[in-house]
Amino acid sequence: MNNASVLDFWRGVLQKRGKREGVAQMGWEQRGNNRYFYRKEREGSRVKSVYVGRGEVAQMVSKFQSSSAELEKLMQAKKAIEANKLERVESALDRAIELAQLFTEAELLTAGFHTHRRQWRRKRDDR
Amino acid sequence: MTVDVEKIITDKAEETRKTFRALLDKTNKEHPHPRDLKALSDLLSGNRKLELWRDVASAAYLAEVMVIENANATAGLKECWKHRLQVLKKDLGYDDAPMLEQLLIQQAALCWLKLNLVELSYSGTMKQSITLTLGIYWEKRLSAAQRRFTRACETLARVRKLSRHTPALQFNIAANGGQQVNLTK
Repeated sequence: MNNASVLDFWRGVLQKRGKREGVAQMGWEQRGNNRYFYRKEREGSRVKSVYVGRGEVAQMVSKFQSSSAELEKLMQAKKAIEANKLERVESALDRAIELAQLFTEAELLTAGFHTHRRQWRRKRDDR
Repeated sequence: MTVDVEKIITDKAEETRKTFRALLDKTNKEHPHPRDLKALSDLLSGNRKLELWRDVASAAYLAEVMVIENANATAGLKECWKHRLQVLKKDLGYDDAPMLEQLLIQQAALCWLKLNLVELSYSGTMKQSITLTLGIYWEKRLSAAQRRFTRACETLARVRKLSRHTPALQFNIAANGGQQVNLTK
């Protein structure tokens, strides 16, 4: 892909975006007759606009930023799937362990033991 | 393993857990009502057909499969872990142990595997530059895995200690001369 075709590609992308009339594009601001691209940065409770530029370079930066946000979203979705899988494993493990503990307690209780301050004891006359 | 099998095991385990919990709460005191104790005893031994221990074993087996299958490792390594788990169970005396101890050995082995996996992930994560939140999260997971493993070992040791003083079965044999010989099995 040469430089001209790269620019054509970006023009195409931007033209498609331009069809959405009345929808403001994130980061682009109209000042006079020109549109300028600003990067938004948060400083505590304030959001600061940092000037990036205008023209085709700014368009490319703008596109890159929007695609990295999409990438971020995809990464987050992947992490959510992994976390869900992990949670399922952990809950299966917890369930199995709790069941084994309950079964043990039941066996000990029927064998004549009981707990006293978290210590298993047996009635004196049962020995 | 299909999702349906997983669901069946999970539902059965949940049902068993509820039944146990209700009876245990009633009987876990110094002088439990004989009726409640009998109900618990019937649940365990009277209703042999229910085979409640099978629910526990199935739930533990499902957890074992899930832990290994969802680990971040190659298929070969997973096979090695499966084998190592079997060896560990054998070393803990699984083959000759009574049923209750078998379940506890299974639980201890499972907790050991989980602890190792968490430690592996933990050391891998700590090598990178990570956020404080992520660090705390991994610390918590590691502590939970260590706690589970310690608890499983303690329970196994406790049951072994208590069962030494509680023979499962006692035979009284009348010997010559009116003496009685007691044998335990």
